[in-house]
Amino acid sequence: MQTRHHVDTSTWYDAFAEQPPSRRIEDPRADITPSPPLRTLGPEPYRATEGLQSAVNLAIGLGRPLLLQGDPGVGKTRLAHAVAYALGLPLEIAPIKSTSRGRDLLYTYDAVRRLHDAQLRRRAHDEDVRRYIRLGPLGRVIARAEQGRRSVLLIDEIDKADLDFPNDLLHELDSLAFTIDELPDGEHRVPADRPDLRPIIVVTNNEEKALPGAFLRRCIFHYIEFPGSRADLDEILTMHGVARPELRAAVIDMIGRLRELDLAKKPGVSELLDWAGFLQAVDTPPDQVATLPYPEALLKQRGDQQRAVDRLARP
Amino acid sequence: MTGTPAFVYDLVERLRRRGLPIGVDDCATLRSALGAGFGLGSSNDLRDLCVALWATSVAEQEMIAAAFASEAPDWHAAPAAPAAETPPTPEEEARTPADPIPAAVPPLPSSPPPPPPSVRAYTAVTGQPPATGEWDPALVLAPQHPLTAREIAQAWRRLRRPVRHGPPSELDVGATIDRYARSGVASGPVLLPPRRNTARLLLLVDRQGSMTPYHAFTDHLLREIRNAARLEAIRVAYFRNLPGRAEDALADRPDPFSPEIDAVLSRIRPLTGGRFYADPALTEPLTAVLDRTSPGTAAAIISDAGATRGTFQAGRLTSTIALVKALLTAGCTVAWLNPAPPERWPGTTAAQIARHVPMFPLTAEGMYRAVDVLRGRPRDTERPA
Repeated sequence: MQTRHHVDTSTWYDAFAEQPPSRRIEDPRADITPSPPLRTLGPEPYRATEGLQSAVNLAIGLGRPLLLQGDPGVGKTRLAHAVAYALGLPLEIAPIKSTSRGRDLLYTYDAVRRLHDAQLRRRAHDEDVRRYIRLGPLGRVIARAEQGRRSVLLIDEIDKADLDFPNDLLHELDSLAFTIDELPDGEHRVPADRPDLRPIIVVTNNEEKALPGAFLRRCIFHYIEFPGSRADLDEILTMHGVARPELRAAVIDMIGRLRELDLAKKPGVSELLDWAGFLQAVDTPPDQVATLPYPEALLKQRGDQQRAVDRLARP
Repeated sequence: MTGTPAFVYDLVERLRRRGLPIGVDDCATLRSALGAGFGLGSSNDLRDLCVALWATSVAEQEMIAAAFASEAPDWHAAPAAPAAETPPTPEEEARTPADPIPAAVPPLPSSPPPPPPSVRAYTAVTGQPPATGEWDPALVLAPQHPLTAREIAQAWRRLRRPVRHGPPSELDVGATIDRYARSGVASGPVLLPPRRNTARLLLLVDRQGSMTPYHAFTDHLLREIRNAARLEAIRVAYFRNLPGRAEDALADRPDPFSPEIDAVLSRIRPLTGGRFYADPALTEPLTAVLDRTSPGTAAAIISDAGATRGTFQAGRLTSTIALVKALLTAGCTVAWLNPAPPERWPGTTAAQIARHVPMFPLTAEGMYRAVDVLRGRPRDTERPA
């Protein structure tokens, strides 16, 4: 518990620093060993606001999970990738499904395979239970911290799981320790006196279900808004390779007009990037953007498409 | 607890009154974050820090921002040296509590004297009319209902009738090991069909008239039940006051001044047909709500049963019993949720209906007990319908 409340600001995420074109980062798919293999990654183009940057730094400093909310496609998940790259840390991803259980994030125990091996009398002398235990994303992050290396953990779409799922993780997230029941010495924990090894945890939430208060109280909360200014959108498009300035301006005009309409699902940043990327790839002249070509990439409901076309037909 | 600006306590006080349970721990976290150099730049920085630490939803974010707008003075400490370069040394950290941050607040910069007011006579309509509808940041506009989404979800997800159904896909570890232990022969894993919730819910919602004040609340309730309860089927039917009448049973009531109808209770016939609507505005009629309800459906009636107006109507009582009888005949379990507080029930139709139908106030505890009844737990009423 002391580690959690010990403030540590030695790691600082700078969202506006120039990122190197590639980085050698520990491979999160490999086993947790003292000298893990590295892999080369390219940068994650991401434009964070000042508020988001300070929320990330607050979460790192206080050792609490960062809970991100916002419209779909606004860049909640990508932030974890950008933070991991900027800090040069491996990123573990825990995609949550409706059947996810809290223990799956720590480890899974393959009872049936062990039974089979026992039935077939295979490796009679090799009674190592470890072979049937696979660490989950949170378990790997804690095990890696034991080895003295930090990681970023992304718990994606936590609201997809059962109502009690976040509660099952409260203790493990609080103490950053867990025990594998099937092993006699199965305890893993982040060293208590090393706040600089605490994993950086990013949780995304689409608000499909209300999360338990006890879990929410432990998080740093940030709501990501759709980028407010033209300059922000312009920079985001540039970062994602939309090179022609006239096309960018035309696309931003269009998205501004669309977001003013009363649509069931307003196009988000991710749809905008898909659409603008395709327009650029097929070489659409900027003056044609006003006719809303390929609306399928932006508007995902029939009613919305109809409404947008009707509205754009009027001057 | 030193080290925290004094106005923060007024702020916490205000937020706690609004139902945001900020405790000592949260204040301690704020203090250590301030000590580490977060949120010192301006009052907006401090607001964003409090939002990040204390808020858990957009509604709470707005609540905190509103409290700041009305509570917090203009605050700016000298920006601390970027904490990244100089993490505080232990001595510095130890000193922070003794060196309260308000001391670091510099005197407000003397603003230039305000320009003398100038009066301009309006001679004709020359410009834009003065703008109205300015947004006041001190107002909380996010709705705050008496029941949170989570309370509703927790109560209604207990309405479960799990049945294993469909192709086998789930591994039964216990049965697999058990089979091997019995036979001693290597065999494949035992699979089970996954569990499914087969509970069905029929919600009958009173609308308009005396229910008007509860519209927003019941809409919130229905939305959250739809969101959270993973049921096989949820049907909502709206009606106004009563879906149908059954007054003939009252023709020869023994004592016309007694509200009790025990003598004629057995003579009330189940309601047939009835007028229900598919939409809350009561415009699209819904046919065959009562006839086409499958046995075992949980039927919840949401209505104030006359408690809001505080009147007793014998006709409403018998007609309601007719509706409940129709639901019971169809094999439903019936519970009544009354949004009016129980203190208002005595002396009204609601009190009499509650003698025959399990009726609960629309609170977290009331919903729990209603779901118990809907799950099939017998509930003592004075004279079951």
